[in-house]
Amino acid sequence: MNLERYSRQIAFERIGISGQNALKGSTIGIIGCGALGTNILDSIARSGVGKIIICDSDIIELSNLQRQKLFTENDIGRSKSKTAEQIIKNINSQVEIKSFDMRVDKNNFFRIYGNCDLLLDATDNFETRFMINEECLLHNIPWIFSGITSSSGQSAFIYPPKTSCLKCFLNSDTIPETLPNTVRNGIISTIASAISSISVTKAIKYLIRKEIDQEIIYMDIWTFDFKKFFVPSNPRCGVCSSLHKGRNTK
Amino acid sequence: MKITVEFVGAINTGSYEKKQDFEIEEKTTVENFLKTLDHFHESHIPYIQVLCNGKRCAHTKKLKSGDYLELMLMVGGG
Repeated sequence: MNLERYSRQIAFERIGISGQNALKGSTIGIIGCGALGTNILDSIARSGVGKIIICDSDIIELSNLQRQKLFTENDIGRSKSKTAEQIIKNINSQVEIKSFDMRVDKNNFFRIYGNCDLLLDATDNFETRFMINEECLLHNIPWIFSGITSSSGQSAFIYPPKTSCLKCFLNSDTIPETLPNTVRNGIISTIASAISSISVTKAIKYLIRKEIDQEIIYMDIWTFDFKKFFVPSNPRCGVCSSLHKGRNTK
Repeated sequence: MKITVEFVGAINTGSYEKKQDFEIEEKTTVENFLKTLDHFHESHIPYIQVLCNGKRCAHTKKLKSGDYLELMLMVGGG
């Protein structure tokens, strides 16, 4: 490990050399390579994690460039995951990165992300997030839920039984098509970097000392509203109330 | 009875002031109050997080006079 590269991070007393070593020994999974994913990738790679696994089936479009910070005009038409992999290798050649140009689902989830110490959600739909919630519970993988639209976003660390699961606080069997989305409601690029920064900070704190921020953070970057709140586990949760019984957490 | 409601972030689509007082019936639950609001579809309600007097509460909570609610809609873009 090139200590000069990380000298300023090591000088941050809350990380130090032991934290830097912990990051080096970590494997991070990131699902999605859009606004959240590219911001998360950039930060987490620069911080010096050992290995990153990234998955996305999309190709880069012109409208992505407003907020998907890794990509440039020359990348339009190319695979998001493969392009991100190449860019990250140029940013930090010490990071091992593996990319999958595919959509993650229940059938391939464990094969792709089964060895991750932590998963960072950077998807763009609740259906996939509910799947991540169940698969992470099943395979005992902690994950960080992130979401953004217009000027709002939230970040939540999910690792039952230490935290609630996603279904504990989003207890719905339906995903309404009328929920706000970036096509209909738009998005300002700064919320992507803001929520990504919060989620990456949560990730680093967990990776270096297993510290879990149990509060959900919700913010609006236009009004500068910032809220933190704790959601207790739902003892009648249809997803986590039975799955986490008797499990040893990491 | 009167409660005060703050609409935070994506839920604040303009139908109401960002912070507004509402007159409601005694023992109204959070869920029933949310159903009276007109700037989101009822199907969005499970995605709304509610803080009551600074603490996250379930939608089954019965409201009291003077309660201060903060409403936040979880968003799913990425």
